[in-house]
Amino acid sequence: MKMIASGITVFAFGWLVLGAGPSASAQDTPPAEEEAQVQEEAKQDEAKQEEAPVPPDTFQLIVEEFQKATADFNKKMSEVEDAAERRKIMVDRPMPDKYAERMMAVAEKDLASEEGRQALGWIAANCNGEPSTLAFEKLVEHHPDANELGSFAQKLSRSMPTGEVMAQFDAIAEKTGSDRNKAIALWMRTTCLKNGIRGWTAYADIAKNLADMSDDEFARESRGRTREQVEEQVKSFQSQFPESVREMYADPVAFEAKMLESLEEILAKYGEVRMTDAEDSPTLASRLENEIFELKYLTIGKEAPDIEGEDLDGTAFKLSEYRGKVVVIDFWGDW
Amino acid sequence: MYPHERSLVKQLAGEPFALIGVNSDSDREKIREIVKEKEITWRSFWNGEEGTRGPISQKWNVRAWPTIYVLDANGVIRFKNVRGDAMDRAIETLLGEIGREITIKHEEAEDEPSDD
Repeated sequence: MKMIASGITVFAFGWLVLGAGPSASAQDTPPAEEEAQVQEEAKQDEAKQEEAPVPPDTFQLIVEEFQKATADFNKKMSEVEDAAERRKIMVDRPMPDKYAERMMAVAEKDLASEEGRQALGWIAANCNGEPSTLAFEKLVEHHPDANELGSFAQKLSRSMPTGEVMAQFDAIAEKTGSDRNKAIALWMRTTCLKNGIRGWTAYADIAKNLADMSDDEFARESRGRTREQVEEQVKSFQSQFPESVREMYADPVAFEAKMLESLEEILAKYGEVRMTDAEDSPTLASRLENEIFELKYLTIGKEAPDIEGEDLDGTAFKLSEYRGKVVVIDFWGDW
Repeated sequence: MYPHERSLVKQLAGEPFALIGVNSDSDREKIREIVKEKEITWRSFWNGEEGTRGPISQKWNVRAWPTIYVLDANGVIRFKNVRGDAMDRAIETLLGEIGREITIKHEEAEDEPSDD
């Protein structure tokens, strides 16, 4: 029991960090210095170009620079085993955020151009916090039909459903002329809300468990935090959800019904939309199939569909053999 | 996960209760060894060589691990993603519905001052 409660805490707090982590600051190093450094590394590597001139930034050049830095970093990490040494190297991990400012400068040369679209798309997809939001807003304004907005919606679905995030989904759905973008935005909006309720529930459980714990239990569970600190953390987590989302989460059964309704609407309107430009790309309908199955048949109050398969020793068995017993089904993996 | 689940299975042996895993490790031989090593005492479906993309988790649309479903004796889904204490309470409730009044108490709790 103890381990589990901690597990939830870790899960939920980890989630908090994931969703609301402080946005990394824009690069502090002046571009010239950074380029010089990269060139230095290039020399040390194997003689590629002895005297690379410093060309003006383009989308392509920055992407290549980032990719090279990433490859170098990965190489360095693969050569070091000592944990302390690895942590030292980690500090210099090439983060996309460090390139955001230069990328934005490239985009701003001509926001409406092809390169503007690529640069904005790169920042929106790879960076965090303010730069990503800003690039997203410019993309919606200048390239509402660009595929990058669909990708952004997919990334956004892993965030918490804050007011800002919900507004971003809505902005894509409203402004885009692309059925694919619209469909993905609406779909990812439901995904985001569905992910969010898991965190919401986990925090609600923490709050409830903490209230029930004796001081001794609490001391073991809280990893040095006071009750007040933990309560504050729970509150601050919950306060990020807008009222409309909190209302939905208050009734989980109604919430699932609502999500099913939304997805069926999306399916009816956009089921034939293909997910990429490729001709053999899967349709949205095929992607929604499992999700709709889940909401239709795997919700609380429904009889669970049977599972037929083999156990780890290869013996065939069925879930329905356990009828008459209370059954916990645990989807697990040892990783 | 393992100690809590192991303890549940041990305590509820003989009760109308089963813990059924759906294992998403792609290497069946390796997971069989882990099952021995870590004393995983309950039965699991194997999700196949595709691991997390295997047929069972695909059909059930599982995207996060662990994902938990708790079914009552009629096979009806009654709770989802309950863990730790919440899982214990869910099981107690459902066992209660079929006339088995049980209080789940884990061994680690034994050396703690009891407050109930």
